Amino acid sequence: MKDIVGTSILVTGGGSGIGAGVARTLVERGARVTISGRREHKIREVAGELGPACLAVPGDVTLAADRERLVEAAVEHGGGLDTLVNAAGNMYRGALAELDEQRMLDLYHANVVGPVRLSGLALPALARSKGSIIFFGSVHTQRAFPGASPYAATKGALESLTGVLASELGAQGVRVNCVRPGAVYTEINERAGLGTAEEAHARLQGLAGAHALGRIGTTEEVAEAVVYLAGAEWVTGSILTVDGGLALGVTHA
Amino acid sequence: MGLAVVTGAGSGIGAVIARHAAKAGYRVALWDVDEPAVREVAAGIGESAVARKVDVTSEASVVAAFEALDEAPALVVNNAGLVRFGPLRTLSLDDWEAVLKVNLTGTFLVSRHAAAMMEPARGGAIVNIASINGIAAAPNAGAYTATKAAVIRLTEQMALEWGSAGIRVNTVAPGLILAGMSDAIYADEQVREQRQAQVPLGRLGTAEQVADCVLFLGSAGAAYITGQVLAVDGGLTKSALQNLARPKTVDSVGLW
Repeated sequence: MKDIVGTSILVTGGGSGIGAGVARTLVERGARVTISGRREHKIREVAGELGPACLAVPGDVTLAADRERLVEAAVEHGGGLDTLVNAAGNMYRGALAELDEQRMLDLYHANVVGPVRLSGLALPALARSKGSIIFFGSVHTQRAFPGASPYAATKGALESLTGVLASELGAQGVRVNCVRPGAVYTEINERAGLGTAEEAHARLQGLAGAHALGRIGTTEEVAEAVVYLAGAEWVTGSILTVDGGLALGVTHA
Repeated sequence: MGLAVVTGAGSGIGAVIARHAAKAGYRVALWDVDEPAVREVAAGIGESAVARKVDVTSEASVVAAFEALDEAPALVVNNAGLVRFGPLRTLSLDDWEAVLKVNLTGTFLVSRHAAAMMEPARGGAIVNIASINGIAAAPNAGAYTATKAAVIRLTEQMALEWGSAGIRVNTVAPGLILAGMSDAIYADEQVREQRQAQVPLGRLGTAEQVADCVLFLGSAGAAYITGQVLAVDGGLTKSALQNLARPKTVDSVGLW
């Protein structure tokens, strides 16, 4: 295993949810972490909590200029770049007949095009360090949640391109993997129209019994998978599912 | 860390997993049908290791081995495996059945008796060693691919049945590893070069990389991972077509 102590890691979407959880765990393990996000106060809050090992850079992965600033800042803060964690993502749900074309395109831009373009920009730095790229898939690619077709499609895209990029970048020594979380409560569930924070949380908790392990997951548990993949020198093109067994089986009783 | 059981620990990947587990702080029970070999590996590890002759295809042998443990294992690694090469049309029924018995029945027997001990102890982790041949077929692999695919689905079945008891079950699918049962294949320099050229990362894997994955899946860090298979293969399973011969004029940079 490659030791992540002292390595430079860029985490997009680091101001909240899984991205913030990943940043926290990586700093605890001794990495130098750069986080980005669209909401400046959120990333400043996380960076303030994590101390000088964590640098906050406001930015939107759908904007070319922001992507360039991000990679430059991460390379400078960490002295190069070892791992890019594409945790930024959005959610949009809706019934088929009511789906809004622009919102579908915006979602694809945020969840797929932005992370892929950012990965391309980061490639020279990652090739120098023999580093790796981590994308986030979703349990939505494995089991259907009615109304989530736009989101499921973007996550399917990321899972597909993980294998292609692993194959394409292997000769440069750059690895590409994907973490596939299940039901993890974050504010993305509120943004998805699942109601207030309390309602969204209750709705997710309602899924607990559908897991082999009988509970929903935590951002910390997802972060551990990122730590493993960041150091696993011969793992590439793999999807690591962290879902407590949510997508196992066709019946649970 | 508790006790780890590793089957097929007398050589190859299993021996390396046992050494890694000991280094990580586990006490290790090393099981193998080859008693002298497994004793030697255990002796090399030292006081934290005990060796035992176990035939994973015999339920009596498996039960006796679990009864001899002084505590419930925290981690059980189903690594014992067998391969008999040959085309399916001419493969002997003996070879077919021998491979099924070790790779599939052995994994089932060891796992269910492990689970019986783990349940009252409030849980544990089982890690199966399958193969990328459980994900994709290979010429001449006989029953091997079918058994490894079966282990991947059996992993899901066990994870589903035993999750409520706090038992997690996962599988590692190693790719082209320079160790154990593959040593004979890679003794041929030309085969080795051809094969490693197919791997996107451009090299063969090591038993240590497989052991790292096993220990991760057994650790507290993987507390929310169950029923999964993780390929440790340098990207090979995703890239089976990338080195197909094609006219140079099609694409000068080697992309499709």
